[in-house]
Amino acid sequence: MDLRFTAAEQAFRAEARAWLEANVPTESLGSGDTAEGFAKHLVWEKKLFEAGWSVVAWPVKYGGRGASLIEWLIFEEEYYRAGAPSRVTQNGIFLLAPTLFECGTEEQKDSLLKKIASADTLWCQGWSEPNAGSDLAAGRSTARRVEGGWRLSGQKTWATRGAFCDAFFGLFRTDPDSQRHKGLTYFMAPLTGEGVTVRPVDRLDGDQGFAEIFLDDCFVPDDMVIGQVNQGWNVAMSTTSTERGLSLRSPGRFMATAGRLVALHRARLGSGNARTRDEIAKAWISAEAYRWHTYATAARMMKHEAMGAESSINKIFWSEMDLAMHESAINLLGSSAELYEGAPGAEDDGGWMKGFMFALAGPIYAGTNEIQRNIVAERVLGLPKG
Amino acid sequence: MQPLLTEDQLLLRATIRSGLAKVCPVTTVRAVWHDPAALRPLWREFANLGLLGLLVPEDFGGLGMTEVELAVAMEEVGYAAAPGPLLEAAAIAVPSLLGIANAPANVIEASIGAVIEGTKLVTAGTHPSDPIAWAEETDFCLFRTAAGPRLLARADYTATPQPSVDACRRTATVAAQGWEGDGTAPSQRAALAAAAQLIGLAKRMTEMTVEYANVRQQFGKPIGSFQAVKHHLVDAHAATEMARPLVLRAAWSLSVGASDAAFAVSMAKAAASDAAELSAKKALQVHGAIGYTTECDLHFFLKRTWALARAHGSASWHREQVAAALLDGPAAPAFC
Repeated sequence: MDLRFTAAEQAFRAEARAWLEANVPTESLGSGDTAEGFAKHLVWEKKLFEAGWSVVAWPVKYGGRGASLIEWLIFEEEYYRAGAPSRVTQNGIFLLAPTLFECGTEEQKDSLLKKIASADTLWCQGWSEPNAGSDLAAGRSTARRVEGGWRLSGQKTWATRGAFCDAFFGLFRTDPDSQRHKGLTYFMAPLTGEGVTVRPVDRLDGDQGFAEIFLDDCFVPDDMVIGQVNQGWNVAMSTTSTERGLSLRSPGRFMATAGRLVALHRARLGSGNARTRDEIAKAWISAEAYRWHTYATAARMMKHEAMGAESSINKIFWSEMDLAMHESAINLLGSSAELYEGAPGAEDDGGWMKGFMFALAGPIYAGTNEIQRNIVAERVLGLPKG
Repeated sequence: MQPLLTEDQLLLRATIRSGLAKVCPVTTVRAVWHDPAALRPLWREFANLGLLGLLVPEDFGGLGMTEVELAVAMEEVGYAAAPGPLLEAAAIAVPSLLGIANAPANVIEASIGAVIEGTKLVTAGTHPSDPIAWAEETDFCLFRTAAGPRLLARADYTATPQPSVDACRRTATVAAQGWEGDGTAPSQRAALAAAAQLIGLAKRMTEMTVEYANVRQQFGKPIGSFQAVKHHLVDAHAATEMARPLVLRAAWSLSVGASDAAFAVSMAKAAASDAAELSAKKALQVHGAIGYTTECDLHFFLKRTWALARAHGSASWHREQVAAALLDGPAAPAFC
């Protein structure tokens, strides 16, 4: 056990830090979950890709630099430390790509991965349906076999940034006689063209961050299927495990939030009082706990140990930590916490309140924390199914 | 960066786990609870497992290990709820004996030998007003003083029993001529060792409770099949798993003399205390009325948790140390 970063890891960190300090936009790009802000974020994504920082842990041939998982965590720490823009490409990079790496054909990987990394194709997820949220296997959208491919019908919802993306991925029932987890297939499909209608939905924070996707006999060719037909559930689970686990929310994000919370406290309250000091300490300790826990997880994964259902523990932890930190922040702000975007007196243009609202989504998206707790109880602790 | 325990450290953990399961099952904990004289034979078994000489150089008959191995061992001590002043001896007294000023070298060497072989019992105290575990029954007590550690034989101090909620701790307050305590913060090694024990206690309580929830039936099914019960146990498990890396980080920081070791220890003790207290609460709730009896083994683990969660600095005391480092200096520290 040695928690010192190696010389190579330190050099990697220094290189990332230097590039980010020189290149992170000094002006806010606005929210990436609005049409205007999304366009600005794409310019940043291209820059990141061209400099080789878009997907550091991917193989070089797909646009990465073949970095280790630990180096990826270091990059993430630096990325958030630098206050770099949110990744509007994240659903392609962190959700679809891991599935392609795991289950995609060589042709799919060659044709899709680099365009994900370069933000040339923008992906959103199409997991939820109006009557299939936590109960994902209750999905009713179907795919009908036709010459050369499939025709998709049904409705997907809560597709983040769906109004601005090019394509989506999700599960469709390919065996009409099947039940539940069986008979589903993992599809990729376009968001434009015949048979597809996208309707933006305003989110709690006011951004047009959500979309509904209506599919009416939309054609997709055979090579838009990932994995085997009727095996979509298993293919999808390989994604949700990485989403919950390491890749979607790395520690750097929360370390940066804890750092900003300390700075806010120092600026607003100085040394504060016993209650506020306790909250600050709790925030910092949980960010450190998640950091060291994640380094250990990454080291185990580098030894090819599977993460499995333990990823659900991470998801519960980071989502509840994020919410607690933002609650602490808006409590520190007191009566000015409600001042929102555009208010001259708002701290960080209402960013803490907006962040608080986003944090409230954490225990809901990527599998609600209730579902995660059931998974941990049954698969990690060995409690009986309900 | 190599954040995982080495093969040797994993082997040490497995050896102590199986060794304590053999020499210190819960029936033995119960025996010591009712009869403190039962500790002495057990103490020699602890010595045979190497628990007392972990931090003593091999030249003095110890294992020559570091705080990382101490943390690994102490987690297992907590897991077994092993009685006796193991923390006080292994984390405070024994390593301090080497640097002691008030005794000739041959006396020190002999006393170290006797302690790590388990023929003599030693405990340690920081301040006269703090209860010291097993101070009445041990052969020596090491005192921290402003001038450094002092070792006194049992005849040279008086002990007033102050029964603990945990009868396996046999606490007493102690008076010795010229001892006023050094008034300093808790020993970092002691806080680390307590944190590690709390992780082990938390893990064991959750395991015991999972086992119980699998067999206890109500409404015709195991209570562990109900979500309300499941979620209690997941919360306990998650808090414990997330606190352990902080304990190992603190242990490693102490082992290399890192400049932020005290900060790391405070984070570890705060997180481990909270995780164990949460686990205790959830374990009792899920056990229900049977957990509220002293017939159920759970109470040994609950009471050790309540004691250690506050000994060597409570969670809120340690969080205040963290807050002071973050808020009171000229600039906030950075993660990296």
